[in-house]
Amino acid sequence: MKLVTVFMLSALPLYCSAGSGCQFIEDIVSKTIDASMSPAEFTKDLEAYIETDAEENAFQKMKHLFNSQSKETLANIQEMMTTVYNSFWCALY
Amino acid sequence: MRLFLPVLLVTLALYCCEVSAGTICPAIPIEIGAMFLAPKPMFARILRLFDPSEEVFEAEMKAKDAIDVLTTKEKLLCMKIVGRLLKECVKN
Repeated sequence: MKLVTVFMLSALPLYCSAGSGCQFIEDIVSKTIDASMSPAEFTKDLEAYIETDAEENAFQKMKHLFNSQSKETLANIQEMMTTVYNSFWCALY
Repeated sequence: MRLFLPVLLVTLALYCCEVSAGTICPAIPIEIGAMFLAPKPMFARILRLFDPSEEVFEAEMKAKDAIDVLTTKEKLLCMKIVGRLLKECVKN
């Protein structure tokens, strides 16, 4: 039992430092959920990572689908991502 | 179809380990990948692992319904871009 307690206490610092491990992705997720950013602005911002017209169209369509969600839904989606970043599963990042 | 998700998850986890040398939590690309490519019930089960509130869960289900408007081809094109974005995590 003592060993379990020691183990859990030592895991706490890891838990507290949990994160995505990649601010770049966090920022892109935020842009995806930001309805004030248009699909065109979104793909322009990420143009270095988009190679074909077909990819650009698909990504713009995806962005448009997100932008069509209500403010509340988008806020909750952001909250989900924050939950993931802070979760046990990301404790080592 | 049953094997699809475990295979997807293992592939994504390995991909992240290989690509990012541990600089992105695999849960993130798994969650993103599942939103695009997994069937809705599987995506729901993955979300439950993070114990979201019902409100957040319902919002994610709406997002999944929105993403499922895309054709499979469009989803794969999006995931190609996501893959390139994830590679940037190595440089951070």
